[in-house]
Parts: sequence; structure tokens; C-alpha cells
Amino acid sequence: MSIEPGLNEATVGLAEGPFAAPVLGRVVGILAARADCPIDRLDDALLVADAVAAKAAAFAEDGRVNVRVVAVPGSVELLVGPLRSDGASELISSATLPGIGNVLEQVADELDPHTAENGNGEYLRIRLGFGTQR
Amino acid sequence: MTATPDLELKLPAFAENVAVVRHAFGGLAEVVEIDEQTLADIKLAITEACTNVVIHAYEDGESGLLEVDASIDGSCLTVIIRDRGRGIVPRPDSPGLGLGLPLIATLAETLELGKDDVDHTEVRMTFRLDEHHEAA
Repeated sequence: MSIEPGLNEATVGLAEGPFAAPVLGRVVGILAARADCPIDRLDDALLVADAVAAKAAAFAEDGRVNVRVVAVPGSVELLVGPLRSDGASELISSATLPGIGNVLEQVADELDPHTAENGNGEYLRIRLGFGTQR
Repeated sequence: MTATPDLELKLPAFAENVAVVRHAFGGLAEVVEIDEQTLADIKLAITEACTNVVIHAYEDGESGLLEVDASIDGSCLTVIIRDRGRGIVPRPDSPGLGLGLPLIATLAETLELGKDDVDHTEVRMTFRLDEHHEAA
């Protein structure tokens, strides 16, 4: 995955396991904070990061948690993948908690499962807006 | 580090992203029992290596990547800081004091400078996580 230098972004690849949630949460948190994310949405962004860290590896092509995080004024996006076929929709479904509902659907402003440009695998784009651009 | 590392991080090689790397490694302490002083040493060594990439790896005005791999094997943490720049070369015009690598060598259990298999510059460090420092 290429990175366009200059953006407030990072690409994170994590082995499934105990490191995934704290490391991904910290990366998402610092990039979102740098984009002036308000505290309530920062909490939401960390909730999404925790859900992705816990579930994404099960639907990934390589069994890892692969996330590109891009934070700009007004939003933070997590691009999760590459995921196996139907992995994006399965990842969304897996984020349902008893008595609470689906965390991703409740917290994110956009959930966009899509196929990779080269046709290899799926990605899930999760966008959280904040401020005037929400 | 031949197997896929536990952590891979790629960022634009900007000064502000050194803090992102430091912060990410702070997450290790949430799941690994690690002495506070050892964690501080790890963060300082990583900060120095990443700062070297930001300052020295790329020509002025050139943009590039800062790549970080990390793996834990038992009580040994291996960290690789990688760039795709001009390599580790003497710089008469260096804005730094030249203390970064000696400092890393002091803080890390081992330090290796080299290239990966596609000729990207690497600084490879290992740290023992089971060391305990006495409080001063």
C-alpha cells in the first residue's frame, strides 16, 4: 500500500493478539486528535479501533489486522483490508454486541465495503465525521 | 526478522510522526510486563532512530516513508526502523550533533545498521524486556 506523504495518515499492520487493540487505538487516537477531533468523537474513534482490532484478522486475507488511518480536519477514516471475499460485510456484522447493537453502524457516519481497485480482496472504509463536516 | 512482524507501521517521514511511533510503542506496555525505565529506554532509542530518518534520510524537499517493524520473541523485542532514502552517509553539513547512533547503541541490547533485501536502509535494534532497573 503506497502512502501519499503530507497527509495525516499511517498504515498499520498488526498480528492478531493482545497488541492489536492498544497499538491501533493509540495510532488512531493521536492522528484523530491532531485533526482536532472533539473528545466525544475521539471516544467513538477508539471504540471503532477496538472493534476492528478485535475482529478484522478473522476476515483478512493474511489473518492480520491491516488498517490505513487517515485523519483530516472534519473526519477520520479507517480503511481496513485487504479482506477476503465478503469479509467487509462479515466484519460489520461481527461488531454486534448483545443489548447494544452494531457498534460500527451506530458510531460511524459511513461504512463503505468495496472491492480493491485491482480486484484482489475487499476493503471496508469506516468514516467518522466531526465538527461542521459531520 | 524474517517472519511477518507483530507490528508494521508506515508513515510519512515528518517530525510530528515520530510522536506517533513513540505513542504506538507505549501500547506495548499495556499488554507486556515491562519495567518503566526499560520502556523509556526503548522509546528514546526509537525516537532517535526515527528522527535520523526524518532529518537525514531524504533530500531537502523530498518526501518519503518512515517504516517501523517490531516483533516480540519471548523477552526480546526487535525493532527495525527503515527508510527508502539515501542511506547512512557522512554529512559534513549535518544539523545534528552525531550522538543519535551512539545513544541508541547504549540503550539497546544490540544495534545493527544495514540494508534490507531491496536496498532500503535499516536500523535494527533489540531490547531485553525482562531487565529491571533499580529506582534511584
